[in-house]
Amino acid sequence: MSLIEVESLVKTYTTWQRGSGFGEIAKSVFKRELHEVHALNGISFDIGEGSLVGFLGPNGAGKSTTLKILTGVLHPTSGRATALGYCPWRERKRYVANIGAVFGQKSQLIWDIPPLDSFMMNQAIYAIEDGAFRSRLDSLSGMLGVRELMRQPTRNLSLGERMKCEFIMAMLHEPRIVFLDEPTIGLDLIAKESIRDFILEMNAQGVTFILTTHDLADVELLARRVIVINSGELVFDDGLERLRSYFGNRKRIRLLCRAAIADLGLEGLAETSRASDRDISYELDLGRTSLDRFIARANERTLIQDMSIEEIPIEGVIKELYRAAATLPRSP
Amino acid sequence: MGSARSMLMLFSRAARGSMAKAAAYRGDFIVGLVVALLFEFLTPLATILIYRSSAMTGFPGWKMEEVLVLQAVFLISRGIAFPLFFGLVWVVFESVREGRFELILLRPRSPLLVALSQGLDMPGFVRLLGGLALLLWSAGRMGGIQARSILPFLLMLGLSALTLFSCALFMAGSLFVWVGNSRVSELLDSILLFAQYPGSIFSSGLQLVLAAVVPVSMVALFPAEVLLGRPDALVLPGIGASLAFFALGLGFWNFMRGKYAGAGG
Amino acid sequence: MLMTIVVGPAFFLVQYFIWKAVYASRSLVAGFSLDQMLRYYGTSTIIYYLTMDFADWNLQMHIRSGSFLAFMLRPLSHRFYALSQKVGHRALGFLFEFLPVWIMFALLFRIVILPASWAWGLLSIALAFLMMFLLNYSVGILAFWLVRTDGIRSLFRLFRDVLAGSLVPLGLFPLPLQWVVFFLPFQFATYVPVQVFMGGYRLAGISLSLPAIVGIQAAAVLAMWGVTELLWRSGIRRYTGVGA
Repeated sequence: MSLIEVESLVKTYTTWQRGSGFGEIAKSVFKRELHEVHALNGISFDIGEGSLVGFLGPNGAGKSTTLKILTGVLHPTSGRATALGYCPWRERKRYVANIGAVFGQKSQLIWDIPPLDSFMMNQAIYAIEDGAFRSRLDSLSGMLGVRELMRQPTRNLSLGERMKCEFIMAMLHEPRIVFLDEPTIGLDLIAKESIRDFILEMNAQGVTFILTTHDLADVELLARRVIVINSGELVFDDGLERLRSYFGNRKRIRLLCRAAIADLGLEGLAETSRASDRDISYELDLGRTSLDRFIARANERTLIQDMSIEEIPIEGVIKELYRAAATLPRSP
Repeated sequence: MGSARSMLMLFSRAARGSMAKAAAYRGDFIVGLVVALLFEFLTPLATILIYRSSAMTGFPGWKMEEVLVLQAVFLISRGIAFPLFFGLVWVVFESVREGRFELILLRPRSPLLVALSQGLDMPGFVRLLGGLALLLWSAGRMGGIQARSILPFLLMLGLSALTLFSCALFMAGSLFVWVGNSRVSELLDSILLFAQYPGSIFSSGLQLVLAAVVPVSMVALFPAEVLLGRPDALVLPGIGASLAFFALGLGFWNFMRGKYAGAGG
Repeated sequence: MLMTIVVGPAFFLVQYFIWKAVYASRSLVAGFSLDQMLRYYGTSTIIYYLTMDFADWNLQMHIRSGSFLAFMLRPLSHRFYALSQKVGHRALGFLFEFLPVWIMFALLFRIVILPASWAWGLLSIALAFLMMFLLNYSVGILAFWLVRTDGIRSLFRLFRDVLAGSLVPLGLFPLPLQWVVFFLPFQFATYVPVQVFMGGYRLAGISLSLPAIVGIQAAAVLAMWGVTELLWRSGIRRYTGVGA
């Protein structure tokens, strides 16, 4: 049995809508037009222990709803879910003692007092034994380099330092699953790198991470598996490599040549831009023309001064997946 | 960890946190405390003025000192209940409005307990001093209190704090639906006005409502009457009503909180 | 606004019972009859709906949050803007707070509150409207100097309400205190318009005719305008000096 199993989750909200004209506002005091929102239309997936899963989807697609259900905070309209052997929303209190969460935009630390004091309140809430608490705090704060910083009031810390403390707050009670919602948002490069390294290290120690983000670098550097949700439905559930090669096995190539170059006349080769007659960028479909054929042909036609070959960034794939969900074929 | 021990630890950590929070804004905190104390004394002040201008007759059947004891009991009860229970209302108010209430639900404890601990306001207990001072002063002027009234009084005081807790539960519960209603405390203030004066000034119909329907009289009137050794006929039904009111409050909180999480389907 | 319809009458209801009890054994208290006393509170309550505002909270909120900068960048006097806001809010307040409560007083408590003199009554209310605004606004200006103004604002509100006669009519205060209150600006925001409405001004043993007291009220508003202006200039100097 997987660590997390989700089957046919459905969530429908009723909300009300009104126009903004004065007449409509007055009318809405007496009668409101009800409106059904289908946040989730029956999604299913499994997650094994020790995974690092990226959860993607456009805003309003149903990501947060799924996460809220998986953290026991929301009841679904129908469907089943099991995590760590519990039903999250029915056995909430016992279940959440084993999970942690970090929200990039909602702080769990108390603003005016040092993070250390917030940690101690958490110790009381999760009923962590003193010895275990101290050694865990020591190891986490050492890993993240905040041993001294955590004694200063939260409002004095930079965003990066604060995020590190949020991670400690979420992991003091040794959770087996940690949910991350935009953990690197607004952070500078160095802070992002430290946070990512920390996540990878903890994942290596066996902690399962479920990462929701719009930062594609986070996805590329951390996630081994990606789930994409759009309009309440699962549109992609597979490894990162498959995401990259969604539109086939392609590469981006940039050629800098000695002399101007015309069309190379190869199948599956498309020019994407031309900085000048001698500086051209291509997209090559390796399924149609192999890389050595391309290099050979380029050598025939011109003298290569410089060449760079790159992976297709997953941005393009993500954008496609975020558009109309219904028209795309599901990944096998 | 044993459940009682863990609750105690939660309380002590929360207390520590709330003191640290207050200490972070020292100057304004002290002014705020002084002003709060001054506000406490407004109603007793008005009562004294009323008695003085009416040649000390004031409210029929009540000496001025007895009314002041009543108002002191009100302050004491509020001084106990507000720091303990009313932070809950503001915690729910802010976290629901900002969409952060989920953070409370992520904790492996009852959300009520977590929200109460986040709302604990230790420095607020200082306001108890005002009530105690007024009680000692008025009781002194009356020649003291019967020793045998003290234990029953303390029990009634417990019920009084429980009634105020119920009010906090209703207020907090309502904020799940009436999100961002910052005037909910004005509603409480206007209801509590009825708790600060001798019940005999109200019509008998109203007195019944205040004892048995929304047990406002339990907040100060009944404990004060017990302390003064002059309980009236409505005290006994009042006790039952305040217990029922508490059960209703808890039920309301659980129901509204469940609705917020979509438990109703 | 729905709250006001509950809170206002609830407050009045309590006063009603209090004074009915007190007047059970006498017919006059500090020179007021029961009817006059109830009228006093009723008038106080509904005039408050016409003159109240949150100018102190609004201004300090803008300064604290940094959104005040937007006002500095516009060719608009913030004070004028805030005053216009108040006019708008109170216009709504007239419809949704003043009228319903006035009707409730008339129907439930059988107290019909009408000014003794329409001209002086309305003039006095208009002046009180300005005075309340200037008083609150001045407290808001303190946010240029203080990090948190909660304590000061509460203290101010305490004095304002007590010394304006909202708690008990000022006639119940000891005479020396009444003298002090006479020279403070607070009475011009609430006590004076209530008295003018009821037909005659009395404080500290002084009796004044309507024209006289309204004249003094106008002078007080002018003086307060000057105080606010001075505070404002000083505050802006400090604000821009610190650097935006």
